[in-house]
Amino acid sequence: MTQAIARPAHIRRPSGTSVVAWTALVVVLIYIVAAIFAPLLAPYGEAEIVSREPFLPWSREFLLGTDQLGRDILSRLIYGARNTLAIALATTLLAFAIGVALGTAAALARGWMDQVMSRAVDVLMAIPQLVFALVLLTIFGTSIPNLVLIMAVLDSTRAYRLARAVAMNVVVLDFVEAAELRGESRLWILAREILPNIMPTLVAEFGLRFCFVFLTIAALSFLGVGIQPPTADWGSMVRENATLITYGDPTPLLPAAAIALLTICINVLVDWYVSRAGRRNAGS
Amino acid sequence: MPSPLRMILVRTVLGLGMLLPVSAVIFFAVSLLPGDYATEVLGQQATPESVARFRETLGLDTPVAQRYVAWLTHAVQGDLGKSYASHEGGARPVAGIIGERLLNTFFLAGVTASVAVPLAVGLGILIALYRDRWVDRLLNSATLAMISCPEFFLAYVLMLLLSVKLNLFYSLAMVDAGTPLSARLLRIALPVLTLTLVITAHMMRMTRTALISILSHPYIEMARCKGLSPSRIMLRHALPNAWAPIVNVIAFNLSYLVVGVVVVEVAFAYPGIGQTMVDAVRARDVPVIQACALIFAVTYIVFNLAADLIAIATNPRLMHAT
Amino acid sequence: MCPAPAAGTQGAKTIVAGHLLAMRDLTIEGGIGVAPFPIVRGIDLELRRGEVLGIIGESGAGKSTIGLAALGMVRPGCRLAGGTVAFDGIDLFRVDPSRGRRIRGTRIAYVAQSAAASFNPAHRLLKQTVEGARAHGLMSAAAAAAKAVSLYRLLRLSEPDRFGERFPHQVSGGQLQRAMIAMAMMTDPDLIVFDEPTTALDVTTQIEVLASIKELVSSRDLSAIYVTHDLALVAQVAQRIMVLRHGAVVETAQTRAMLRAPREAYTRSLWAVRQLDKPAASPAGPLMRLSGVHASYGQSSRGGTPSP
Repeated sequence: MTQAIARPAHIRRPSGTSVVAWTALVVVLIYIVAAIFAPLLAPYGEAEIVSREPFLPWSREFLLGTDQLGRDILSRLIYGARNTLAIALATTLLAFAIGVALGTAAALARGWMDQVMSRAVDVLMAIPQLVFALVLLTIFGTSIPNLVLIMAVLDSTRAYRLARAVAMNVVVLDFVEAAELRGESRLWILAREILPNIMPTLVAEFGLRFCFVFLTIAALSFLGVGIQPPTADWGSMVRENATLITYGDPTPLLPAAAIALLTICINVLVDWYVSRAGRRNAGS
Repeated sequence: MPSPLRMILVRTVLGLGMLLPVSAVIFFAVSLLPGDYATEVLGQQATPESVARFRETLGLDTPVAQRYVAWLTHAVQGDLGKSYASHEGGARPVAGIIGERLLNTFFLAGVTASVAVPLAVGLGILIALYRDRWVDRLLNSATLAMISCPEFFLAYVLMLLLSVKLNLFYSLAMVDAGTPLSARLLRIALPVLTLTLVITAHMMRMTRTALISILSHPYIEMARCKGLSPSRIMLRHALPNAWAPIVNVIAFNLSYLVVGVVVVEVAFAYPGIGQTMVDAVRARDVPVIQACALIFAVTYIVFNLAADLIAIATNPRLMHAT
Repeated sequence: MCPAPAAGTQGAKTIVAGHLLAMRDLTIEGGIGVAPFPIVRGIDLELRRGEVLGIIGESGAGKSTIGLAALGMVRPGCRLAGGTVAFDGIDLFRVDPSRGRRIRGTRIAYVAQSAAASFNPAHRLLKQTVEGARAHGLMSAAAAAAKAVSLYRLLRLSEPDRFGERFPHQVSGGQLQRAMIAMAMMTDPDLIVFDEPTTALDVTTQIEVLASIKELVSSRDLSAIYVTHDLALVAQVAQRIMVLRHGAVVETAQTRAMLRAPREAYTRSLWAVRQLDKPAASPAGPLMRLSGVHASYGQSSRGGTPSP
C-alpha cells in the first residue's frame, strides 16, 4: 500500500502499436465485411425456410442449426449484421447531424433561442431513453424508418449538448482570436484551427453514441418493439430463440455475443484513440 | 437565508419543477396516437354511437390541455386512470395493476443496490490504490467488457450456466404476493446477479477515475512530504474529498438501474413494472403506458436530483463560503 | 552512519559534524513505464547547518526534483536511478519507510509552490497545520494549537487566534503561503526546502513573504534550500548559489562571488543585461493615426466623450 500511494502514476502503456487495439480493429472490419457482403456469405436466404422442423441442432448442413420457424440461423446471423449495423449507423449519423446542427446554432445564436432549445433538450433528457422510445414506438408504430427517426431524435440530445459546449468554448479561445486578427476568414478558422482540436472529442463521442444506440435498438428488438420479423436482427433473434436456453442450448447466445463483441471492440478503439490523441496534445 | 441552503432549495425546486414539463411531454406524446383510443379499445366493429359514448365517458372529446390537467391531478392523488386491455373485459384501475408490480421492482432494485454499491465502491478504491498493476489492467478490461454487453446477454449466460447447467438457481423469477421473503430472495438471485454485474462495472470504473484524480492532487503530495502514513493519507486526505464524486456515481448508476431493470425483468419473467410496461406496449394499453412512463421518469429525475444535492452538500467550498 | 549523540545534547536532533545534507551523484529518471529519460544527472550537493543554498535555473532544469529529493521523495512516474542523498548521515532513499517518513515529518519540511493546491479543501487550516506534529506524536493537541497560533502571529497573519478556523478557500494566496510556512515550522525542522514559494504571488505579497522567510531563517539559524528561477530573489536569501541547467550543475559558488564574477558562460548569460537598440524614429509621417475612436463593451457605452 505504501508504494501505491507513493506512486499513483498515470503513465500508460508504451506508445506505438497496441495488440489489443489492432485485434479490435480487425474484428470491426470483419463485421463490416459481413454486413456489406451478406448475400454472398450467407449459405441461405434471410427469411428462407430451410427445414420443416424448428430448432434443429448444429449440423453440417445448417452450421448453427435452425430457429423456431425452420430458418438457418447462420444466414440470419450474417444478415443480422447488415440490418443491425446499418440501422444503428444511420441512426447515429442522423442523431449527430441533428444534434451538432442545433447545438452549434444555439451556441452562435445565444439569447432566448438558445435558452428555449436548451430547456427543451433538458426535458427530453429527463426521461430515460429506453422508456421514451417505448412510448413513442407505441404511438407511431414500429416500422424501421420510425425506429431510426425516434432513436435519432432522442439521442441527438447528447450530440446537441456536446456541440453546444464545444462551440461556446472554442469561439472565444485565444488562438481563434489570434487567427481573426491575422485576417483569416471564419471558414478557414473553422477548418484549420477549430476542427483539428475538437476532432478527438467528436470521434470518441460518435463511437460511444453508436454503441449506445446499437445496444438500445438491440434491447428494443429483444423486447419485441424494435425491428420486426421477418427482418433478421440480432436482438429479435435472441428473443425468438430464448426458449433454447432452458434446454441447455447456447445458440441464442450467439446473436447476443455478436452484439457484445462489436460494442467491446468499438469501446476499445475509442479508448485507444482518445489516449493517443491525449498524448499527442500533451506532447505538442 | 444562508447561501448553500438556498442553493439546495433552488436546485430542489428546479429539479422537481422538471416533473411538470416531463409529465406534459409524456401525456401529449401519447395524445398524438393516430386514430382514436376509443376505436382502439372497442375494435373496428364498434358502432359510431358506442364509440361516441365511450369517448364521452373517457372525456376524450374535451380539449387536450384540459385532459392533461385532469390526468395530472388524478395521478397525484393516486388515480392513474383505467385500463381497458384486460382479458376479462371491463376496466381495471391502472393503479391496482401497477401497485404491486412497482413494489416488486423496488424490491429487486433495493436488493441489487445493497449488494452492488458496497462491492463497487470497495473494489474501486482498491483498484485506484493498485493502479496500473496487473490487477488494475485485468479489472479494467473485465469491466469494459461488462458495460459493453447488453443486459440480456449477461442474463441468458447466467441463466444457462447457473440455472440450467449447474441447477443452482431458478431460471425464472416468478414471485407473487404470497411468496415469503426467503423464497423471494432465492428466486430473484439471477436477476440480482445480472443487474449487479452491470452496475458494479459502471460504478467501479467511475469510482476509480474519481479517486485517481484525487490522488494526483498536490495536497496529497504535501501529505507525503509531512511524512504521513499511506493509510492516514487515504483516510484523512483522499476519501473526504472522494465522497462527493463517489456518491454522485452511485446516484447516477441507480438512475441507470431504472432502465436496466426493464430488460432483466422481461428476460427472467419477473412481475415488475418493467415487464408491465413492455406488456402494455405490446397490447397498446395506453393508460398503463402513460402511468409507467411517468413513474420511470419521476424515479430517474429524483435520483439525479439526489446526486446533485449531495454534490452540493459535500462540497466544502460551497458549504463554507465566506 | 550516525555516531552516538554526545551526552547533554538533544537525542535524535544532534547534527553530525560536517554536512547536514549531502547528495552524491544523484540521478533521477522520469517517464517510468513509457519512455524513461533523466531529469537530473550526477548532482553533487552539500549543505551545512545554518546555511541557505539557492538553486537557480530555467523551467524544466530539475530544480523541484532536487528539492523533493532532499526529502527522500520522487514525484509519481519518477524513480531514483543512481546516487545517494544523505541527511545527517542517513541515506534517505534506502532507509526503512517508516523511519524515512518520520524524518520527513519531523526534521525536514517542504514549502510548495502553490499553497492553494497544497492544502486539502476539506479540512480547516489549523487541523492541517498541526497534523504533522500531532501524527508523529511530538506534542499534545493544546500545545500544538498554541504553537500554531504563535507561528501565525510570527508570520504576521491577521487575527492569528481565529485564522486556523478557516478553510483554505476562505483566505488569500499570500496568507496561505504564510500558513504553509507556519505548517513547515511546527516541528522545528533542521532543514526547510522552499520550492518557488513566492512565484504564484503578486509582487507586493512576494516582498512580504520573502521578508518573513528571511527573518525566520536568520532568527532560528535554519538550514534551507531555496529553489527559484528569480535571480534577484535568490541573491537576497542565499549564501551559496547552485546554477542548474538541463538537469546538471553548471556552477556552485558563494553568492557574492558568483554575482561579481561568474565563471561559466551560462551563468553570465543569466544575469547579463541586454541593450535594446531601437532604430531612430522614421522622419516620414506617422504610420497610423487614430482619431475619434470610441470603443465599449456590449450595447452600452460608458463614460468618455470621443476625442476630437
